Amino acid sequence: MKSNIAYRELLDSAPFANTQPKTGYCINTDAEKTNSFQNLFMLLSLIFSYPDDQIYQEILSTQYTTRELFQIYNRSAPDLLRQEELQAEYISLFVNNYTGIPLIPYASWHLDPDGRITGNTLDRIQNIILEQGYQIKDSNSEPEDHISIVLELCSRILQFTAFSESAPEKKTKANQDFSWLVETCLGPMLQDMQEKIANLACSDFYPLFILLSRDFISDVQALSDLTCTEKNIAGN
Amino acid sequence: MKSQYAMIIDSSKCIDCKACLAACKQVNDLPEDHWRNWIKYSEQDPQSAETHLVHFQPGGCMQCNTPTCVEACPTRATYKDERDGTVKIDYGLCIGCGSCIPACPYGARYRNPITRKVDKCDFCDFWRNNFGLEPACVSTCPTKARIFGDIHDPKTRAYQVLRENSDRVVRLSNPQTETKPNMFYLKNTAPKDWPKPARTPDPIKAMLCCLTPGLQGILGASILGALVMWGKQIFTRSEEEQDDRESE
Amino acid sequence: MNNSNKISRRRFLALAGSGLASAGIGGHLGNLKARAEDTLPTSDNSTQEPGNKDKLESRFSFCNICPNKCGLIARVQNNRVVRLDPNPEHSKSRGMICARGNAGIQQLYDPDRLKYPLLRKGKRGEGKWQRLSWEEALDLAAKKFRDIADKYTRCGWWFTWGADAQAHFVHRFANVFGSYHIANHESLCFWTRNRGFLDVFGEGPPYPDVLNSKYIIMIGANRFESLITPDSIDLMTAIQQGSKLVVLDPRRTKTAARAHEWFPVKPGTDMAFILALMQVIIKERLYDPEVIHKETTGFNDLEKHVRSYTPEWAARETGIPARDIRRIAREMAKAAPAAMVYPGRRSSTYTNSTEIWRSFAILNGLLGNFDRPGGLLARQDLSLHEAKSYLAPWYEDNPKERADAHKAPLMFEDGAMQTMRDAVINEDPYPVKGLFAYHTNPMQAMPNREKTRRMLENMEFVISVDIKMSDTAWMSDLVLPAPSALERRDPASVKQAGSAGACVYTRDPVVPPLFDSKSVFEILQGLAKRLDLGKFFDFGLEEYREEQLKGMPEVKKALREKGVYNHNGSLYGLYKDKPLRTSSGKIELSSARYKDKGLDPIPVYERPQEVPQNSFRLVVGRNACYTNSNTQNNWLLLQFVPNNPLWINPGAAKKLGIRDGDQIKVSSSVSHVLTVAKVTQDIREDTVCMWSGFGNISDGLTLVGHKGGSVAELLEDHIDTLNGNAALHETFVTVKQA
Repeated sequence: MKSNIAYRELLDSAPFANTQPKTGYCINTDAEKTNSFQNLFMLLSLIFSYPDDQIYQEILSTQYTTRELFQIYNRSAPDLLRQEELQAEYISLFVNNYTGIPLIPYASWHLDPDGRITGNTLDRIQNIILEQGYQIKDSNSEPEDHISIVLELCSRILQFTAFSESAPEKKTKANQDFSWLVETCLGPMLQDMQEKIANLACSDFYPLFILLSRDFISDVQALSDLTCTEKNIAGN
Repeated sequence: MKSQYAMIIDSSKCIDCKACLAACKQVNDLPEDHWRNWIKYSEQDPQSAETHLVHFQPGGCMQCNTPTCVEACPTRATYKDERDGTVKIDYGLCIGCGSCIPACPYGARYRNPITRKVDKCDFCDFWRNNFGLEPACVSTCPTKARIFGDIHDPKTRAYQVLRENSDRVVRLSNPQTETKPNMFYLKNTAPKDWPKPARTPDPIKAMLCCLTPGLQGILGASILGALVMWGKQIFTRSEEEQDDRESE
Repeated sequence: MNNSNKISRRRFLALAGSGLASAGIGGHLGNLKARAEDTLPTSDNSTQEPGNKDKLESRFSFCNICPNKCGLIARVQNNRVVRLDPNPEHSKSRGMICARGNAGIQQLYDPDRLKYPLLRKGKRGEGKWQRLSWEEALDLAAKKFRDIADKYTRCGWWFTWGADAQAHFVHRFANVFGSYHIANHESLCFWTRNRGFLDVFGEGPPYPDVLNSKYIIMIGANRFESLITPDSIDLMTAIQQGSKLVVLDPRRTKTAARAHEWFPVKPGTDMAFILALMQVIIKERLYDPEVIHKETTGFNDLEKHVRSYTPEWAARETGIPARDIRRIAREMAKAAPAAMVYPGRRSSTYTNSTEIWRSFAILNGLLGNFDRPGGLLARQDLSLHEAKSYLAPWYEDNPKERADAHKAPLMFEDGAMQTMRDAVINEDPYPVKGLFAYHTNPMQAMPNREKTRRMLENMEFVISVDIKMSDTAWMSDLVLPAPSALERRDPASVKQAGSAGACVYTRDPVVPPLFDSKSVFEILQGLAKRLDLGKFFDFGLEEYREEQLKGMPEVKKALREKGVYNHNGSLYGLYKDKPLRTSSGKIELSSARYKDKGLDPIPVYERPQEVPQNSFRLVVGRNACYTNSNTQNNWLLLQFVPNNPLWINPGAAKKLGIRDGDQIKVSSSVSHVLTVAKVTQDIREDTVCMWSGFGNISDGLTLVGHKGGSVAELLEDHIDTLNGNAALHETFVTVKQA
């Protein structure tokens, strides 16, 4: 029976309030499946990163995978723009725009609604990064709750949710962190973004990827049982 | 001797700059378009010589001595804390029913859409108790219109100012609901007649009659609390919307 | 969208399929790398405990949102700023920060703040950007500096800046680079006041001792909304202590609403009021003849000059009853020398504002309040060492003069924004093709925005250094992200503080800079190195500051321990037995210098233009919750000031069939905007008012939600005839339903 919870404790626990700790994900029943999902997360992470030369090259070379992914969701893949065009669109959607960017890519903005891009959400993501054995590269200047970093983090953590080598506590923690990132950070962020794309004056590259990501994250959320029983996967 | 923290406000100094609203919102992470404090204003009597004058009156939860919000709470989540004299909300027990909102004559309480529970000024409890800082509205004020302190402690400035001005100090009350507020106004503050009578919605009144204090506590923490909340929502949604609007 | 909690088997298998497994995507890319240490963090950092009770550190800084630079104490927890409190030791800001100061945290953590150097691709104002590294950005900028200098001489560049502690480094760069062009925002603001007071007192302007003044006439200045420290606070204290405040303003501002008397003066007629006050004071011999004799010159001329400016005459001009004018003159003279006509700040009002403000200065002179308690104070003698002093190189091929030289008889040496703009657009007398703008936004600050747009189109390269994507940044070629105040280290600065004397303050970073932001000092340093000017910037800021404060251990100690050094010099009698810095050495009630130039030695009243039928005079105003165009995207401040409706009197509105909240079209001779009407008794029937800084670039075509209309779009391009300062109250507009 909870009691004596003060206002600040209530607020600080808000980004964590809706998390039900999961025991595991269907994804990690074998290495191959884990690997696939890792790749998919990483792909999306690259899509949501500024398309500099390296990233654009990688996006170019993974076009086949991208098309496959869109097919799985019964959508046609968007055409890849020229690099300069893609850069301009990325900036106008996610970096700077007159009167403000329409798609704010920081989890804490969506979860800690106080008009700032830092908050308890960012704290937790920073802690997860450290606890899972990573740190942010010096070349990066975005806060760690940027959607591309959250997606990359999900990709990395998946390996620890795999059944093979992790110790049980490590696996449990990885499951918990992964589920929090997916359900509490990515889900709402992509939902918010999806609601804004209707009125955007841009090509359909990023809007289609947002829709795709939204669906993909929903699917990942559905896969939340270690034994991967029928109740998570519909017949057919 | 137990403390009673209070605010003594010289509203004749207020210039309606909104620093107190901004500071409060900033340090307490309040959601957009909801406020724990306010500035009311009054015009002069059009018959008087100085018709151009406007008087600004800052305010917030009055941390009353006989709070009607406490009486209205079905789960005893809100209570008068005898240690510092503020009226607190225990969020472990608050079910977000909102009965306390119309029960406050000052409109000091509102539903926080993010936490879905009720919120109000707590004299920056978090900052005071953990870091010894004053309420943000007090430190930020350009004209230092607010004085904050323990009016049971003769050593504080609040105590002294209150004592020196005891014949001129004003407590805003509604004639039908005297809650003994701990916000004192100096020097002919205006407006004076805006506090409303406390209201407790009927379903809650009926329910409160049936519950002993012990049951109320259990109610807060159990599934019954959620049921009450839903029931309450159905009965009183339109009243609350009205209150939210009026308290702007 | 997927239905509740299920995923189809087909899809799951497809996602988990072997093709995707072997894709091996982005392994070497990404922003995460393995942690250096072996051990995991301790449970202090555990994800289980949100750190709400972690240690709170306090660090000094000062706000940068408006020119006041209030001292603050930033509370930092886990390297994050969680609260801003005023610094109670700061004598100028009297231990306060306002709503905007509190919103500094929003500015620091704004998702829309500039993050990386951006280069324009596509048309100016189209909004197509490419991100550059700092190396690329500075290399490109340096190349442009060189190219434009080669084609047009170094005066082909114009450097402009706002009120900021690092702005003088831009000035340094302009000097060593070799351009004369440094016209900046001051010529859109208070040049006319500075000029008027400088020519009377030799101090431009002197500082008002509001705290100790017993009788204050405030004309147009709105100190309870347009906050200036310590004046705004001292004004309230003075009133509480019995001082009298008389306000002249076409609007009932909050200052007017807390004053003893308010007169809704007819806009542009203030000089008539002042001349009549002087007429009464002189005629009824209410001045101090000894002070006049000893400290002023030109009294006899003044006496003759004001003879015909009677209160009855002034009443007809201003709408203020003659008996009130007479009474105020007597009350004021009785309170003298602790009585003043408040000098104000923004004096960018009419084409004769220099003369209007000079008349304020002359009346102050007549009251004998200069250098005395409750009057106008001389500049405090508090100065720091000139650090890293330099001799600017000489560039042979430079033109003889500024492009806008001699456009007005009493311009200041910097040049004026509007005259420079004309020079750029017309390429007359010679082309100016590059603009470097720091912490300033000409697109919103200058009247007649269409002309500013044309000016920018005429430039070959425009560099904006800012913290947000302002209208000017949006129209630039290269946008460089600067950090907020809380992330910066700055040199030491002195600020004169009126009744509070003067103070020294500085900044050290409260939190490390976010994103890729760099202070303008670092940017200029990077540019200088690339332009063979490195030796003028080969120092760090800490070193610079050390040199500024050499031999001032008490200042250093105060800065370290209190976050500010408050100068405790005497406020009064600084000119005792010393000549003033005027040509006569005395207070010039009549100016021989003006006479020599063929100008009026004493201001001559000029009736403002009549407001045409069915039109209104547009005036601009201020509110305590916003600053110029600095704050319109601030999440917190938008909740106080979501837009800038047009203030219109109910009688006027009724004639036009306009109700409160209606969407309206406001048109001037240069443009129109769509906005919302605020019908209020608080403004004269012949006047309308809008706050500045709002409205988007493609204004006039759509009502943009909560962002209001741009005053810059509407205002015509007037300047003061003597000085070149902007004249923002000379535009007439029509209003109708949208």
